[in-house]
Amino acid sequence: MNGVRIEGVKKAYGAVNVIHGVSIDIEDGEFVTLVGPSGCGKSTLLRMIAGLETISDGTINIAGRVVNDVPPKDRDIAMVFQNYALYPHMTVAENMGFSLKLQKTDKAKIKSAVDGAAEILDLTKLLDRYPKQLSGGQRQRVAMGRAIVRDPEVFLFDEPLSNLDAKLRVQMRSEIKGLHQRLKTTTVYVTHDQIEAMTMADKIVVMRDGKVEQVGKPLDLYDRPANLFVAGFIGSPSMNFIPAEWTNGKVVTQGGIELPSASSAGGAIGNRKIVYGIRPEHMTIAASGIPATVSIVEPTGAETVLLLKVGETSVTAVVKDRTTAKPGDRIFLQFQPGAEHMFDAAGGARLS
Amino acid sequence: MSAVEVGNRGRSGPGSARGVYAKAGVLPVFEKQRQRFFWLLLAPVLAILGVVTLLPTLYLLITSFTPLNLANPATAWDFSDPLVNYRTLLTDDRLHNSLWVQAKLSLVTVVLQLLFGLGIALLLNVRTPLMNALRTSFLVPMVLPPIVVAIIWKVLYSPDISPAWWLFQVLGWNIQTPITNAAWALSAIVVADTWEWFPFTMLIILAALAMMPEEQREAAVVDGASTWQLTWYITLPYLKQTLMVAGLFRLIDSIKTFPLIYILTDGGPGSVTEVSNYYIFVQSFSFSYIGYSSAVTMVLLAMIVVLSWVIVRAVSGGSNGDQ
Amino acid sequence: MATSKLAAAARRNEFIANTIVVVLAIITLLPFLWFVVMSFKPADDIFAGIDGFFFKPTLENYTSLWSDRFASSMMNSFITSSVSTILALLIGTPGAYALSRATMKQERTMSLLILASRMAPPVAFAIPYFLVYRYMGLLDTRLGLIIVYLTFNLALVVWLMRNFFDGTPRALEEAAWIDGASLWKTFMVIVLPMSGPALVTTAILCFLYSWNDFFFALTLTRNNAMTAPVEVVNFMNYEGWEWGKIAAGGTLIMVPVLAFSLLMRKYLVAGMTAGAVKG
Repeated sequence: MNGVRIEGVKKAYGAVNVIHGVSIDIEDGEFVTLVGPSGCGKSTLLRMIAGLETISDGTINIAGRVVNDVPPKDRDIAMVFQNYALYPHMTVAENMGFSLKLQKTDKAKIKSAVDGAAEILDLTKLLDRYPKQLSGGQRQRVAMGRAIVRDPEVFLFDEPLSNLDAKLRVQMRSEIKGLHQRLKTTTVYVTHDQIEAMTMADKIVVMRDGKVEQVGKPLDLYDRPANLFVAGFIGSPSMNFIPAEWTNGKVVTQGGIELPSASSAGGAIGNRKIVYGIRPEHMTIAASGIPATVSIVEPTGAETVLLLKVGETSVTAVVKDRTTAKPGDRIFLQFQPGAEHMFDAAGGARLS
Repeated sequence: MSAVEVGNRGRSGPGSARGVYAKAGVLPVFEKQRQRFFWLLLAPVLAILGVVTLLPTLYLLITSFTPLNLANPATAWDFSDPLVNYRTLLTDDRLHNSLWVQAKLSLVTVVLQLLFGLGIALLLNVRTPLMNALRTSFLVPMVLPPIVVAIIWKVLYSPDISPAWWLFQVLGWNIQTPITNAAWALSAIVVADTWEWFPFTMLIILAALAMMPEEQREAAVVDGASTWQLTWYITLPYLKQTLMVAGLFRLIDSIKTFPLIYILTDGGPGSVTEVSNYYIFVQSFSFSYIGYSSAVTMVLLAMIVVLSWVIVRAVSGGSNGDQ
Repeated sequence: MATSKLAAAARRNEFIANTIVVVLAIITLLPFLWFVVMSFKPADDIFAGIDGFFFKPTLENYTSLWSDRFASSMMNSFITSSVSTILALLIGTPGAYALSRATMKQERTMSLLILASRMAPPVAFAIPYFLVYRYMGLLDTRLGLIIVYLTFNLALVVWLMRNFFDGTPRALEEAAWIDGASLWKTFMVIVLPMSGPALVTTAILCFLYSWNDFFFALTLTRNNAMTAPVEVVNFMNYEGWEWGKIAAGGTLIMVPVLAFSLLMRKYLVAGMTAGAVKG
C-alpha cells in the first residue's frame, strides 16, 4: 500500500519514554493532522517519520517500505519546518531547486520544476530574492515550494503557521488545504491548534502524553469524542463538564439538579458517578429548564457568551440571540436533545 | 509502559534507543553515519589539542620531578629524588617573596580595575550621543599589544623623555622615577596595569548593564528612588555576579603579567616587583634551572585550575539565578 | 513649570556627565597618543624637554626601521600569526560543529579544559616546548611558533565557533538532509557558508592573540624567526636607547591590532572570556 503506516512506535530518551506505542494508518493522499498540547509527542512522531529522530521500537512504513533504517534523504519525503529553515545564503529559486540539484537533475528540468511550483504559489516575481528580503507569509510559501518541487511521497508539516499573525494564518490555512486538494499528496501536519486541525484535516489524530487518544474524521471527533480529554480539546469554547450521578436512567448533579438524558445507553451504563458533557453552543435560554445564575456576559456581536453557575459548577453557554441577562440574574437553560455526552468519572472514557 | 502495545516485535525492551539498539547491534544507518561523521570532525582537533597542550603539560610534570639543569645534561632523566624540587620550594624565600608580591599586585590591580571599570561603565551607561562616540577610546589600552603598553609606560616613567617629568622640571620639582625606587616600583606597575585592563571590566559591566531589564529601574524610579539610590539598591545588586566574574578573570590574568615587569623593572629593584611568573622565567630561561621552575609552574597551574573552576561554577551556577 | 525644571536638571546632569567622560577619555588616551606622536619626532626633539612639545614631524624613524631587520621581523609576525590562525580554523571549526551537534555529557569538563588552556601562564608551555624544540631543532623557527600559537588558538576557535553553532537552528541542516544532502555536503554547502561572519570574527581574534604574543617569541626564537614585538624590545637593549625607532616600531605593531579590534569590539569580550561566558 501507499501512504504511511505507523505501528507500535515508541520513543525513549534514556529512561524517559516520550512516545508509548503509537499506531496510525495514513491512507494514500490523505491529509492527517497530529494535534495535541505541547509536549504530547506529536512533533517527535513527525520527526521520526522524517528520519530526524531514531525509532526506539516499532516500525514506520512509507509507501510500502519499512523506513526505520533509511536515512532522511532516501525516504522520499519533504518537510516544512516551523521556522521555515530556508537557506539564508541561497535565493528563493536556489532554495526550491536545492534537492533536485543534489540529485544532479539537469538545469533545465530544475528550472521548469521551480517555475512550476513558483507559479502555483505565486512566487514567480520573488525567485531572485534572498529569504531575508521576504515577508513571513512569503517565506512560508517558499518553504512549501521547496517541498512541492521534490514531488515527494509524503509532505510533513511541523507547526508551519505558528509564526504568522492571525489573519495570515487563516489565509495560509486555506492555501495549504487548496494545495493538497490540487496535488493529492499524502500529508502529515502537526499543530497544537485544534481549529487548524479541524478545518484542514481528512483525519485527526489527537495525542496526549505520547499516546493516541483518538483517531477520526474532524466531525466524528466533535460529535463523539472518545474520552474527556478529546471532548475538552476539540471545540471552542470547550465542552462543559458537570459532575453528576447516573441512577436508574436519571442523571442528577451533586446539587440535586436533574439533567436531560436522551441517550439511548440507558441501563447498559449502570449506576455510577459520571461526568456529563454539553457543548456551549448546544444550550439555549428558555422559560423553564435547568436553573442557572449568570456570572459574566460577553457579547461578541454575532453571538453572546454567558458564564454561568449551574449548582456549584461553572459552565459556558454560547447563544445566538441577544440577551438582556445581567450578572446575578437567575435564568433557565435548555440543552439541545441528544447533544449531551457522558463519560465515566473514574477513567474518563465515553459511556455509550 | 502502556498496557496496549501494538506491533511489539517480541522485544520486551524498555529504556533508551541506544539501549535497545546497542543490545541488538543495529543502530539505524543514519544515526551511525552521523556518529561516525561527528567523530571524524572531532578527532583531528582532539588529537592535536592533546598533542599541543596535554603532552607538554605532562612533560612539565615529569621534568618537575627531575633536577634538570640545562648546563648539566645528565640531570634530564634523573628521578633519583623526585620530590627534591617540591621540597626546595617550601624553603625558597625568593619564591615566597614572589608569591607575596603577586598577591599584592593582583589584589590591588583587581580592586582598582573593578572600581574604575564600574565607575566609567555607570557613567557611560547614561548613553548620550557624545558618550557613544567616545566609548571606543576607552577600549584602546586593552586592545594594544601588551608589549607596546609596557613600552608606553617605560616612556612615561623615563624622566628624560616623559612629558610628566618635563612638567615636573618646569615646576621645579625634583622627583625620582618610581621604577627604580624600591618603595614605589610596584605602585608604578599597578598604575600601568590598571590603565591597561580597566577597559576589560568596563566592557563586561557595560554589556551586563545593556541587558538589564529597563522595568527594574523604572519601577524603582516610580517608587521614588533617587539616582544614587537606584545605583545602590538596584544596579549594583544586579551587577554583583558580573563584578565577581570580571574580577576572577582579571585575578587569573594578573598571574600572567609579564611584559610590564620585563620592560619596566625587570623584577627589581632587588626583587620588589618579582612576581611568581617572572621568577619562573628567570629561573628557567636565565639560570636554566628547568626542573625546579617546572615544579613551581605546576604549583602555579594548580592555583589557576582552581580559580578557573571557581569561574565556571560562578558563571553556570548563577546564570539562572537572578537574571 | 515643574517639567521644565526637571528638564533643566536633566540637561545639567547630562552636561556634567559628558564633561567627566571627555576628561577621562583624554586621560586614558594621552599615554598612547604621546607614544604615537613620539614616533614622528626628530631624535633631538624626543629629549628636548618642554621645548619638544613643538616639532616638525618626520618619517625618519620609520624609514630607518625599514632598512633594518625590523621588516623581516614584521614578516615573521605576519606569517606565524596568519598560518597558525588558518590551521586553527581548519582543524577547530569542524570539531566545534561536531561538539555543538553531538550531545556531550562532559560539558563542564570541556569548558574547564578550554578555560584552563587559555588561563595557563605562557611559561607553563614555554618550558616543555623549549626542551622539545631544542631536541627537534625547532627553536628559532616559524614552524615552532606556529605550533605554540595553536595552544591558545585551537581552544579559542573551538569555543567561539561552538557558541556560534549552538545559536544556529538545526532545522536548516535537517532540511538539507531531507533535501538529499549528505552529512559532509550539508556541512560544506549549508553550515559553512552561513558561518562566514563568525569565521571572520574568530580568525581576527586568533590573529590578534598570536600577533600580540611576546613571551613565546622571546623564549623560543633568537634571530631567524624573531617577531616584531621582540625586535622592538631589542632596540632597548643594545645600540643605546633608540626611542624614535622604538616608538615607530611599536606604532607599526599596534596599527593592525587597533584597526581590527576597534572594528569588532563587540566580540572582544567573548574572546577574552572564552570558556566561561557564552558570547
